[in-house]
Amino acid sequence: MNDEHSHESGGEVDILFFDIGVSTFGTDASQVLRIDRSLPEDITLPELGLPHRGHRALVFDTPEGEGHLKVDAVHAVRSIPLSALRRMPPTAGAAPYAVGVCLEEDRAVLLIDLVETARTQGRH
Amino acid sequence: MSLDTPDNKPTSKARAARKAPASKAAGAASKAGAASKAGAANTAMLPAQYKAFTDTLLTVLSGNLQARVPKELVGEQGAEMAHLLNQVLDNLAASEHRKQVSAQEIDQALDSLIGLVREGDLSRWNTTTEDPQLGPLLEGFGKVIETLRTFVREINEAALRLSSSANQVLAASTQHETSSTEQAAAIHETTATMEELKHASAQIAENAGSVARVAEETLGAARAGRGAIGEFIQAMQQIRSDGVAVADSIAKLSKRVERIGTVVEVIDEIADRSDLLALNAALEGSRAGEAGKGFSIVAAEMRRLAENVLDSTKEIKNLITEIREATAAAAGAAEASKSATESGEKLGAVAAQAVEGILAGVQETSDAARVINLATQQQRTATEQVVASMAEIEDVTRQTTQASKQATGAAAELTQLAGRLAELIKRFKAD
Amino acid sequence: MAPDRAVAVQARPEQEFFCFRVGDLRLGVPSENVLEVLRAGLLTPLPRTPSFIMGVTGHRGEVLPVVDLLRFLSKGEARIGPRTRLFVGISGSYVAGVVADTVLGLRRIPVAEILPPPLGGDASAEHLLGVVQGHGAQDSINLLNFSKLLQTARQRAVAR
Repeated sequence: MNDEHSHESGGEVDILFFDIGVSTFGTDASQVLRIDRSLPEDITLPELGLPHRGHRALVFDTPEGEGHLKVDAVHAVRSIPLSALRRMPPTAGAAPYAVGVCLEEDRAVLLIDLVETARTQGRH
Repeated sequence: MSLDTPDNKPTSKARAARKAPASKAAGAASKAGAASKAGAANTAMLPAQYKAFTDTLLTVLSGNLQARVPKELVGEQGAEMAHLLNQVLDNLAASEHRKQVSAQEIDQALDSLIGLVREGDLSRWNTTTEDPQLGPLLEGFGKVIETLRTFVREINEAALRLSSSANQVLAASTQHETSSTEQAAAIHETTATMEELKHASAQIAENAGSVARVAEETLGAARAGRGAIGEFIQAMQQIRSDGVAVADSIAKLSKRVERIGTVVEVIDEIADRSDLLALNAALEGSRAGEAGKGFSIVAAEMRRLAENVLDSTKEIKNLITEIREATAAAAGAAEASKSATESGEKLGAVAAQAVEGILAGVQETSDAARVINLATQQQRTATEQVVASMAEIEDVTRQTTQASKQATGAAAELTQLAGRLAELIKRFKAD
Repeated sequence: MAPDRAVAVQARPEQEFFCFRVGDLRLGVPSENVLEVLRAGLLTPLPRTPSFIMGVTGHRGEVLPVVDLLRFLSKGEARIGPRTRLFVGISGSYVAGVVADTVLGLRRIPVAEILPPPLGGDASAEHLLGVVQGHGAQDSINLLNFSKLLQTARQRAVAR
């Protein structure tokens, strides 16, 4: 409920932007414990596109332990006004980890829920 | 020759003549005996003594000239007579001996003469005599024979020399005849060759003339070629400069077309936005219901205009695309033309150089052909002179050959004669 | 004269359709279901969506799912070019962008001219209001029941 309130009050949230293949994605920076070197057994999400090399891994916490998502590059963490964030419309019928979109002018960057990715892939 | 046929008669006569003096001598002796008989009758002699005289005389008359009157038989009276008679007998014996010796010497001389006459043998003459009457005769014969001997010796020697010389002459003459014949053949051959040479040089002169004519024609053609190449090079330069101007024009055209393209893009963008605006305006009008109807009509019209614009720009874009392709092709063609004319100019320059070379070469050929023509004409004249000279030489050689044939005949005959002479001379034996 | 005109309107009721072409299809959507027309801008593909959802795009601060009707009706696959349009369709609270190659325009079509969809047609027939014949066979337009279409789309997406 606090979140909802801050939405309306025009607060900001830190978004970490990263690349997988040719596409850019965003995630709630607070979910990311650290950025590590990737390991062969790390999670990949073919629906988001195949990583070029996948040298990096986003490490996050799940109720079952640490999750590792293989990515190509990590750009930056930027503070994004909550007004620029949108929930995924239900009509899109997207995967559960595709939780929303960050609108920047004409661009719409897909926001990924890392914990959901772990749930989708199964335990790490 | 009379020497060939010796006659036996003179020999037999000589024998007969030789007997005759002997019988005369005997006759003389018997006369002497008769005379001594007449003397004895005048002095009265005893018969014994007388008999000793007659016996002795009879013995002498029988041929024994050694018989003498023995003195013991005649006594004193007959001693003187016996002594005188014995002296007479001694003289008679001596005389008879001298006669015999002379006869032998004459016989020997005759034998030598017979050998000389019959066999030509001069070597056997070796006769001498004590006979004062015969001596000068034999001495004269000996001198004649010695002279003959000398003659024979010299003639023999001369005949041998003559034979040898005649052989040499014959050999030399034969050699000369052969050489002369060969020379005649060689001269004939030379003359034939010179004739051929004459024809050949005439041919060469003709050919050289042809070459000179062809070279002259080639010279003309090459000069024309040089002019044509010069014009070609000028034309190429003109084309190249024209091509550069064309390329510039094409580049400018291309830039302008690009500019038009940009403008058209802008128009397109505006038309597209207009289209969208009109569409949305129509939708707004539609939502406004009856009130927005007129608005919708305007919007639709506006949209139609935008679409017209878009159609036009599309056409323009197609045209621009075509122009772009055409200018690209033209630029390529201009570039190709430029390089083609450049290489054309280079080739033209090369060709011009080549033609210059040809001109020089042909000029040289022409000159050379003229020189050859002249030289061969001179050669022909010279050859004709040589041919004439050779004819003269041939004539002389023919005469020489004829003469040497005659000389050879004569030499052969001479050799034969020399041989015969040597043969004859051999019959006389000088030593 | 106005009542006459009103009578005339009443006598010959018309319905306004937003007509467009996508692929080989000529389609019409009731104009009340169309909010506005845009250029198809940048699309963000989404993971695991049904194939007829091409992705999402941002528009006026909203996130619009973009629908490919060709895929939805199993008539091929839409391609997005520089002149491709996107119209914002709405039915109740559901809003979606729909890809159109060309917008034909708003057409007022007399209801009487709307023929029922052909019987025994394919599955797409269930989303048709009817067919309006043009001057030739090429000009006929299939009129879509957009509300039902959007509903089906949502159901298919969520059902997954």
